[in-house]
Amino acid sequence: MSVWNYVVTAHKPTNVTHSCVGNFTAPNQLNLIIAKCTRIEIHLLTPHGLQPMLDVPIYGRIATLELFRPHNEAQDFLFIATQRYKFCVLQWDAESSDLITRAMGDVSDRIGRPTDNGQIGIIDPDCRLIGLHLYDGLFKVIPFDNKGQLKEAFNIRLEELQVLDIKFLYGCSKPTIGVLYQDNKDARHVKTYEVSLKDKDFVEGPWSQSNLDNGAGLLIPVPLPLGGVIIIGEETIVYCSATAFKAIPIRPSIIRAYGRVDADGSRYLLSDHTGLLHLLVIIHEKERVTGLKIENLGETSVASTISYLDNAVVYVGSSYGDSQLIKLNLQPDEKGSYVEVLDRYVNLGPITDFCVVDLERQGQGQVVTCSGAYKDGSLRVVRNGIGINEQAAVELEGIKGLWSLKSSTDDPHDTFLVVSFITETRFLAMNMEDELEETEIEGFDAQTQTLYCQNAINDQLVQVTSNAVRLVSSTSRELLDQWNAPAGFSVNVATANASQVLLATGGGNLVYIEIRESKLVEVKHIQLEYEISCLDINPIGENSTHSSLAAVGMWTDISVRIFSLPGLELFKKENLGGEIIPRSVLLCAFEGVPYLLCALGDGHLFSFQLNISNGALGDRKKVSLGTQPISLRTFSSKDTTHVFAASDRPTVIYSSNKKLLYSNVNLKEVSHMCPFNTAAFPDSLAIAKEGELSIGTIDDIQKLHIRTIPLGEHARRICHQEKTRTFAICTLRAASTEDMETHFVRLLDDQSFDIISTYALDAYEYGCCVLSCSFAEDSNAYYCVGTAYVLPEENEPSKGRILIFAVEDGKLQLLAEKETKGAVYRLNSFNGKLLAAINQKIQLYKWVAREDGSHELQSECGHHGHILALYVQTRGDFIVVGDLMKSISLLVYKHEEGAIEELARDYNANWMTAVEILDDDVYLGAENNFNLFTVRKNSDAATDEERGRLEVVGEFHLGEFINCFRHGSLVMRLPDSDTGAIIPTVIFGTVNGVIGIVASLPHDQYLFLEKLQVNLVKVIKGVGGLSHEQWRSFNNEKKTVDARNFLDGDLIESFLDLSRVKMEEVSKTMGVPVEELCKRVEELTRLH
Amino acid sequence: MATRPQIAAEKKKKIEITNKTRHPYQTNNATKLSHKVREIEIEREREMGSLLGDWPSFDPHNFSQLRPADPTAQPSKLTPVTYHPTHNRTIPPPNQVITTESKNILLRQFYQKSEEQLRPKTKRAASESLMPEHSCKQPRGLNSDA
Repeated sequence: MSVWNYVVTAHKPTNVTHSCVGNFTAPNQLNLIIAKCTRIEIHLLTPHGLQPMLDVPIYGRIATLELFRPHNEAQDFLFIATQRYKFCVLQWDAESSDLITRAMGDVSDRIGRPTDNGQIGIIDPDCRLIGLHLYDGLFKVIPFDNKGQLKEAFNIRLEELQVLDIKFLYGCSKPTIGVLYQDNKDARHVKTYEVSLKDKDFVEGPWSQSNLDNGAGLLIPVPLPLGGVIIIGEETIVYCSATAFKAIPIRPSIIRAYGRVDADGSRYLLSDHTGLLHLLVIIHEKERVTGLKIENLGETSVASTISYLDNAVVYVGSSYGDSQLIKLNLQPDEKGSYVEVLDRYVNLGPITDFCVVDLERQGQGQVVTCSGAYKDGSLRVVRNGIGINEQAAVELEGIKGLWSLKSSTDDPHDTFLVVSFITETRFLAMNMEDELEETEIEGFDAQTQTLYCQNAINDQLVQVTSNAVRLVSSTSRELLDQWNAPAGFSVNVATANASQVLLATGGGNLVYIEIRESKLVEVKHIQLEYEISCLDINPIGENSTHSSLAAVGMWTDISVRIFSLPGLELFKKENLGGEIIPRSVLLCAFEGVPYLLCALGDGHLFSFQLNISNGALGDRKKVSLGTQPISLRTFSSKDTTHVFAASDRPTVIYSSNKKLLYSNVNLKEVSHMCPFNTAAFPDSLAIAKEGELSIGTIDDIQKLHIRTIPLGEHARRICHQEKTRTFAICTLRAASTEDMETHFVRLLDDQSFDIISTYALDAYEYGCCVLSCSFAEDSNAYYCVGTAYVLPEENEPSKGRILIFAVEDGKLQLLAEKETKGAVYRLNSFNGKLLAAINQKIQLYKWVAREDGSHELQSECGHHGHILALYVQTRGDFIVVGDLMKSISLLVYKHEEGAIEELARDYNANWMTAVEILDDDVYLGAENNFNLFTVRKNSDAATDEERGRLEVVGEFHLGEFINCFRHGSLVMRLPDSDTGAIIPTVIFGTVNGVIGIVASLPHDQYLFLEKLQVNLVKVIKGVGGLSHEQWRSFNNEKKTVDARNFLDGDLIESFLDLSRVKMEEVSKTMGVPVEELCKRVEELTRLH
Repeated sequence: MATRPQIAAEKKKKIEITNKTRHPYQTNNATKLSHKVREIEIEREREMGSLLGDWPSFDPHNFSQLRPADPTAQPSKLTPVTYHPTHNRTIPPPNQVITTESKNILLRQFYQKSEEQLRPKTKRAASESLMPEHSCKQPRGLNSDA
């Protein structure tokens, strides 16, 4: 039963909705504050660019974000209002680096019609009041008292019902607003009002301006000394004040974002709907405005917000493309642009569609999204884990070890690759042609297996084999010294660094050898009670060639021990428990924190924080990485140390914010790895896997990898076809001249993402859906495309087409088409037939062979009774329909009768945005008030009436607009991982660029986590005092009810970010040990 | 703000000098035309220079060491630390939990108007067409409040 669901974000929102600049974290620091719908980010401006400081989750969708400076304050405060009528004022406490709530409240009214044009929140420049326009006909005032404290709010009646924008004017003795509104004849005007705080009413303002541009939509208040406002229209820009009126025509465009440049308000940056950036200048002589001037600067992403930062650098926040950091140059570049893009920040929003594919065929899903809009449209390949991009490979069976060596200590590059086999060792080197070639190192023993190999101080090389340690000059390659194992003993395991060798011979003998100039000196020898299974002396202290600690893993008592060097005194013994011996230990430091990692033979890994001075171990954690023995090795990427855990499920271990993170590598099985940095293959890794030695480079270390494939046009639907290894996408491109759009079906190669074929749709014809399928008696793979003719004079399309394409020689070949009486919103493969959702109707088509061998679609049966059947999912004979406004209904196809009938429906009036089938009985829906809900089929109910109703079993406010659900997973899912049985997951994509997971949990796990969530809410507070319970409550125009049968995974997983003290607090109230809690939450983090 | 016109003036001077030096060598129409185009270009550059110059600076060091990212590279991800407050100061001071005045907006106006009326008793209150309705609703409002 998939009733108990866990919702978690795999990729946070990236759609930038608001931004502002001010002195928030300190009086002398300049901050950029960005709102990404449900999160804010605080950045610091530095000589090196933007330095991220904090990512702050907000329990609400941010409607307004403003910085303001109350009287007598040295720093700015942050005002945030949410779409569900909460607000808060935040202050930064630099001492504790905390956000403190100065004020908060609820500004909802019991009655009132929410504004159509979005909520407006503004702050008087003289800090006398906060103004809010949330409901038509009402203006809410939150006054400040003279100490800067907020007072009780009150409403003022606003005569103008269709308000487009409201701004406070500068330099008015009484707080004054300018209101841009539309009258009932659709004409647009600006009026000003003074707010009389005493009378709690408006007083007619100093001026008004009627009959403006019909497309006027934005007011920009101009600071003193000029004052007044700029009114941005679609064809004109007007400056208006009590004393002046200046207007200039502009090229028709829609301008929604502006950023003030100068404190005196003489220059503004404007961005239009095509991403053109303009500079608007108010020409003035002293305080008298003499004119306006607008100049085109160049192109950026289509901006939703613009913030001038400092020294000609500007932040362009975008909802439709990547956000950018740009510089305004004094001279144009060769393309005539004054804009130089300094940096771009990933934005997946709006995700209109996506598909889950396994392109590398390694059992792990990747998400390919249709992201961005208009000219910023792109495909994004989102993959969990780290990619190794293979550069070269050779077939080599039976590799037992891999090491790289430099030819001299100060050589920046590696020269040799030492490959060890069970009976021999081979030496490879890069030759002049950049090829790997077998070579010799004379002093080394090539006739036996190498146990360890290392560059040593003074241009020396060390090789440890089962019977000897050899010291060789790296210049002459001659043997300098040799240490032989005592007679009757052989070396079992060994390790070394530049100046030390530690090895174990049978019988628990541990030998410590120091490397001197041309000499090996046995310094210490001890005997332990059991056999030694693994060793490490990787230097993590200040001296990079010498370690003062040794880590030793033991057979029999299954322990790991820390010894001092050179004395080999036991510092610490840690019993690992269980019966699986440690197979690899590693001393390493991440972000300056020393760790001991210890990998077992069954794919588990222990991590400990290590105290270098006394060898003490703390913060013990255990994770499961695979099922086979792991071997650990450090490597560097971008000057940071990471650890590669080679096993059947290779993993890179790295650290972010002092937390160890584990990331899958896109390889199936790796037995050994070593860094191999040569001139031909810089920063590469040598990897031994399944009879092959390969050399590859590694992606940047981060959890989710996003690859962008810019399209320059808006992709709306995507579908993958395994058989032809292609993607089909439906796209649209705005024609450069008119308002006309052209729609295409395009075919892309699934490896190169090159467009290999295109089919242009008719004029006014939109591509609505695309499906890859085959039919009952025809196993060929086809792409089916549903379209609609969207004619300007029609309210709903009355005509569409179903197009059936085959991919032949890499080209889209149209094989059949079928005209429909409406828009084909959705196509599904159903019982070897094609199920189409066409306007109000669900229609089933057969694929029938004609006499000439060609095929055609023949209508079989249908089902009426929807407003618009927008979303359809099928399972067996069941059809789940998401309606435009009538929630979810369940249909069934009856084979014998050849008919589709309705079985049940949810009678709530939910406006659907996506549906998915979780299991036979439970269906998941997303609706346009940003809620998620589940309904259940009541097939066992007593009455027909009950059976005909889908029971709502789960409700949750996600705060995200979901466009698409798909079954699948972003991670490699192994049935024998700690989670036990595989937890089914559904991936969703949203307008804000969120990729999230809905995981259906077993009931006992759900109950446990629900209890954890209840306890976490008490410990992790809502920023701004906002309530988690209220935030997650299901909410639409009709009702607000507490969330049920959904858990907030983002909150639950933040348990791992808590301090130990807070973890213990939670652990105490839960009655569950911290380790157990960590383990269970970490399991959940591996769902995404 | 005072510095900007100066910079613009300086630029103008330089450009004029270059113009003068080129002038005597003009002979045919083609060069005249190209000269005209160039003049327009110069004019635009000069104008843009005056518009684009003198960007505000809070701290001149900001962005001074920033090098543009490789335009062919994939866009970067800024990932700040996620904030999970566990302190008690997420709750505002008790008097700073703001609510909206509970009095109905209409009632408030009626009271205000009636108070205004009560004061200048002798004069007939503003000749508003609302008057009759007003007098009828006013007592009701008062009663309901009592």
